[in-house]
Amino acid sequence: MRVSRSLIASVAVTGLLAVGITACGSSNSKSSSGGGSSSQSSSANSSSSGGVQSIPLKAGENPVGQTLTGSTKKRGGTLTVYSSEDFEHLDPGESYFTQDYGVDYPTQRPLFAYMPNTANEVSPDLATVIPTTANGGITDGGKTVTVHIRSGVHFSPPVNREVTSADVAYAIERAANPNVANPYFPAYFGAGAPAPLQGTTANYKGGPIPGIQTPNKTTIVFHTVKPSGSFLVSALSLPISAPVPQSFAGPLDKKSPTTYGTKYLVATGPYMIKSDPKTGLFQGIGYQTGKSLTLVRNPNWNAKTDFRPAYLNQINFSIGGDATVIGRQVLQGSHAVQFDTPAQSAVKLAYQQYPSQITFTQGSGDHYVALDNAAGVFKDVNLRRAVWANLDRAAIIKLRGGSLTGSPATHFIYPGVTGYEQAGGAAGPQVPWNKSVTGNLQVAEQYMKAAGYKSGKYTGSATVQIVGANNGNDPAIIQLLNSDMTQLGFHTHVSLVDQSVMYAKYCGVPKQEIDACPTVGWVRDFADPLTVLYVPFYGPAITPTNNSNWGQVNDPQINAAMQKAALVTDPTARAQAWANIDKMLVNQAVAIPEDFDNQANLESKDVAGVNELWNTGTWDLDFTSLK
Amino acid sequence: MTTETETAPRSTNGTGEPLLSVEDLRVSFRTDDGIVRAVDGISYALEPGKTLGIVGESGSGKTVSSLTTLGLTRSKRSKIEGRILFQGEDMVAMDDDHLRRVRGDDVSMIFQDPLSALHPFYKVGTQLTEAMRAHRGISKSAARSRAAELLALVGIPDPKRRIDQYPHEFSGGMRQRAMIAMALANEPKLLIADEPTTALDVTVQAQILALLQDLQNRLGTAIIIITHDLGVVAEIADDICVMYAGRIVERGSTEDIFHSPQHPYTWGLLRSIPRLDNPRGEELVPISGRPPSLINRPSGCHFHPRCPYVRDAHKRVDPKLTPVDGSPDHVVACLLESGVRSRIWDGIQSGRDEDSLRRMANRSAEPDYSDIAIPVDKESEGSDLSPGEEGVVESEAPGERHGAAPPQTVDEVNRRWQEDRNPEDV
Amino acid sequence: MATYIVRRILWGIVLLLAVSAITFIFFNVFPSADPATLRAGRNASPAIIHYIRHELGLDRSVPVQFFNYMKNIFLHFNFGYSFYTGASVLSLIKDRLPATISLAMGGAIIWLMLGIPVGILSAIKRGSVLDRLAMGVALVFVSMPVFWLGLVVLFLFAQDIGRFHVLPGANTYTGLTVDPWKWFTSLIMPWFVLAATSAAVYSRVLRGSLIEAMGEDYIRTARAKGLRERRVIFRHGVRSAITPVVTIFGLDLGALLGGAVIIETVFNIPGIGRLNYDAIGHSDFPIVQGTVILATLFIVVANIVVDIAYAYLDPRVRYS
Repeated sequence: MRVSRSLIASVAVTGLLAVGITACGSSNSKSSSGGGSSSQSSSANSSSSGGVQSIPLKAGENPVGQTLTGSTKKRGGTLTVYSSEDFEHLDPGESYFTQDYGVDYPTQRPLFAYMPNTANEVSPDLATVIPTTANGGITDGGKTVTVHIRSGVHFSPPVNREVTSADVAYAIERAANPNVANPYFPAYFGAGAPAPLQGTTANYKGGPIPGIQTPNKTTIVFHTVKPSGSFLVSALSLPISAPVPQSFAGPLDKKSPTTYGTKYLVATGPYMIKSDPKTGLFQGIGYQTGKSLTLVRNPNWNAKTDFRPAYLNQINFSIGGDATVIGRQVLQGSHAVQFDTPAQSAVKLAYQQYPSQITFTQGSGDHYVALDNAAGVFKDVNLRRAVWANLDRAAIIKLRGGSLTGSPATHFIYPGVTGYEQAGGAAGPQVPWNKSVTGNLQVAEQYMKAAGYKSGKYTGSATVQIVGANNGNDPAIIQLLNSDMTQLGFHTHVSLVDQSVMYAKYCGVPKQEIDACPTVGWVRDFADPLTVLYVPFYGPAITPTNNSNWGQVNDPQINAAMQKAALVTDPTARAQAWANIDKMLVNQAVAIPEDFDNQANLESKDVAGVNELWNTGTWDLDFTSLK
Repeated sequence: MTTETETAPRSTNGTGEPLLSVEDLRVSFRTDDGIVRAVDGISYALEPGKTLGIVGESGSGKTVSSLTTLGLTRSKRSKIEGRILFQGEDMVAMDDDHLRRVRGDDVSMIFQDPLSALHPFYKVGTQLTEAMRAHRGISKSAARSRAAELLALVGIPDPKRRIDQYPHEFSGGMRQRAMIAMALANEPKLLIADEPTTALDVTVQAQILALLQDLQNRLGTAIIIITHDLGVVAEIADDICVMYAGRIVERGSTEDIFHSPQHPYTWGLLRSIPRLDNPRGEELVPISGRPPSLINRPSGCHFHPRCPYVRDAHKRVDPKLTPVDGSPDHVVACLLESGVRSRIWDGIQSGRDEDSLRRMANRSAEPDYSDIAIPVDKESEGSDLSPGEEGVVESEAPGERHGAAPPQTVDEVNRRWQEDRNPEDV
Repeated sequence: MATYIVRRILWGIVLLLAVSAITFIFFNVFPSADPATLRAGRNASPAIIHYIRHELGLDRSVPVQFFNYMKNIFLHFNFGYSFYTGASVLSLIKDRLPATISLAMGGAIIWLMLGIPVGILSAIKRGSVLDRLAMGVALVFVSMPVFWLGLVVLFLFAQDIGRFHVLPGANTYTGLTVDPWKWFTSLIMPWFVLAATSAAVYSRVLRGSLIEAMGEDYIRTARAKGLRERRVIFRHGVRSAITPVVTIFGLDLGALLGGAVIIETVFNIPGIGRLNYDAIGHSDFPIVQGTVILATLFIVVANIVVDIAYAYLDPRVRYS
């Protein structure tokens, strides 16, 4: 999934190294503990009536030290949200960007959603309960998932009527329509998924899916070709499952691209984009492209059917502008937050002068060095291990801006994702090349020798092609990798290009045979370790263009393990299975993990902001209130 | 240096009060290199309706003296002393505003290059009406019709169409006519023409000069013509002043100057006029050397470095303007005796060569100046000219035979006198 | 004069066509990313990418694409649709243009009002303390980076983040028709920043030009005519000296109408410059092409207007 561009390019917070490392470290570690011990136990407490679910919260448990709900929260008021980046897609069927999600979830109700203070536990949203094997939601060995949706949820004007299961079915079906072109449908629901829905083929372009059935208005049944179980449940927490009325959106979806989400939209959540009540047109009314977005209360939302408190009356987004200015406007202003990644100077200012107005959220993704496993020098696993051993990961953290921006990565599942602890937690698998985060030349040389270079240095004739992004701190990081590599005797050739070009033209095109892409990054799509490891490291997921398995990792053992792990339905076993795969990836040194990222967020002094732990800490507009 | 002030001389045909009377005018400019004495004590007079010619090369101060009449040399860096009496009023002492009102009304001036002297962006008619309406309260339409009349007066055909044309649409001669028309717009009593024909070709020159004469006859305007070319003023001037290095070195009626010129510089000017009746192949004789610096002038007689007939004493004594025998209104500033001068001039006219002329000059008895106390001229220190050695003709043209002047065309002669503008010669 | 104007306009059209062709080549022959895959998203199936490519017309040959593109623009005024949001490029441009025009025109008026009198005064009082001070200040402003000046001004005077809460800060722009007072006050700081650097340049240019003009012969003639000095300076001196200023002004304004990216970003004014900048970041070619053609149009028109103005000011030019 895409995060704010500046996050992947990384934000520098220079000069904050020595300051307050311990202070932030402790609060961050608290949230990471949620990764290992979480389970679907919450479902056991949920009632299956159509009423509100009371999620068992430990009192005060919240990464920012605030209570989420309660009568002490101030109702009403208008919040200003600044972002220098515009939205990509407001159509929940197309959104694939952390900032878009920040608007999707307050306005749309997918089957399942996340409370802000968890990175892994889904809560029932439109659905009444989380389907499990125990409550009969998951049957047929995991190949059938039955979801009951609540009654009393209505669309906003002009549709107004109650939501039915057919609306959810249509929402998923339209995703494959090329006019909608949902980016992750093939990976999680369609033909490319580990457990595709029945009836979806590679040529499927929209239209009714046999694998989705709606026996009655409040029930929807999913049939997959292979067992998927809770994986499908987690996947359905993506906005794709937010209901879309076919009578309203159908005609719009015939246009290329669809105008549902670009001109017209209806909502089911507590908020909606301000629009014409008669037509649902929001373009030009509640949304000025590149300028502003206005969220107002959805008149048809029934608070009793929702866990969202929705304190604010109105939310005004202001798009564009200079990040330095925005930072100050938020910190020194009133009733405002920043949605995109803050500028370095703003983070420094906040940290030094307004420490209560900045939050750091762990588990915002990771970065690693992609090494070409299929061709070139790094076909040899020992050479990969050698380079890993010698890489100074601590220095990379410093280059990115210090410990506030992240911690050295020691494996691939990052904090907040289930399986993190099982895969080794902060220290990671204790293989020799992973032990030292600052790099160890002797260990590296051992593996060079194991690769056949008796002197401990590379003596071959091949040149290592390195391609990286030319913005932010990336050039410095690439330089570091370059020098660590040349220390081992490699001849290197470095190219710095625009980040999108790096992905689109070089690292994402297997034929280019780029040996190392040092600044690629990944963020999970939803709370399942598969979404962190599958696409980047699964052999059959390699595509000739737009490839995200940048290292072209195609290890038969790993592939087989992934296929198996994808179909594990029990959450604990699943976490363990993927943790094992993580260890295998480390063992094979398929890529070199660099850092586990933190994301900084800014708020004004009179805002009681709540961060979405599951969405890189983006402010949760349903739970945020004014002070 | 001479310290006596001169009284206003009378013009040769003195009948009544002079229209313009310049008395010991001195104009100097402060520059980074020193004080430039552009005009160093000149005096002349002009009667109404008469024409005065002021002749000299660039750097002689001829233009500065006339610009000063109009007050156009006033600035922080200039110092003006002496008197310029116009109709009895002293223009030097006049305040700026009064002066401005005189300019373009009672006294007007035309300049050398009418293409650059007229504003390229405004129609000719507009520039004329502007001149009128600056001094008279007449309506635009009345001014316009008068502008057409003026153009007709100066001989421009189809004047009603021409007043709506731009200067670049006129030919050179017509432009100068238009400038004259502009200068006459308010019926001035005095018209100063600074090199009015220099930028024009020879045939047009004659037309313009004829025009000036004609206008003078009709309108009674007094004219001062400033030029480097004696030939230009031969026809139309009543009196002539010859200027050199900021001073008048000879002054007299046109007849006097042409028939019995007294100053060697004047001789040089006369000899460089090409004449149709000179034998073909006869070379023009330029005056050797360059104009002197007006900051550090030569000692003694300022002309001495270039004078072929210079004697030792001339390097120490600065001559005053003294009348010529028999013509009290003809004055000259030269240390050579009257008789010597006549002989040399006769020799020149009969075509004697330079060497014999010089022998003539040296053979005459030299006056004894030993009993005169010679004030040391501070400014003669560091004179930048090496005095012309006797017997050697300095020549500027390259590749010529030693001792003989190279052939030169009329144009080259003219051009020599039209040096690049020095800062001293504004 | 009429033939001159017609000829210039025809050349202008030729230029527009040429620039359209060049931008088309840059964006379609050397693209930085494939628009179809951008639209399709990551991991889209090849079938979907193929379908989208067809929808976008990208599977046709380049000359055909170009022909369609030009036909759309010049016959139907259809600049295509954003790859990113699907909005019509023309509507986006129309939406953003008023802000850019407000910024450019207001700034231009102010910098003329500042630069011209200062230039004239400095030329007239050449060498004086006033002259040296004015030119010194001008030099400082000319050397200032616009971005930096914008931030400084905001950090000093913005109501929300400034030291002195005087003027509306960044992101407060509202349309003229929506709230005229707010429109005006929100543009004061951006106008100042825009004008400061330009006024400095213009004053220096005009000063030099006027000093030169005042040394011309026709000034002496004008004085000899007995005109008042003020008239000499303005109607004779400035009238000549202003022509280079007019030329630069036309071109500056033309370029500015294409979008003042930096100022629009710092102050978050939703103008063409920012539209272009954001579109470049998203590889949103239709928008970039549209804004480039628009900018070219402004510059071509500005060139023509400047040429005509110059011919009007300087009659010598008219008949060449």
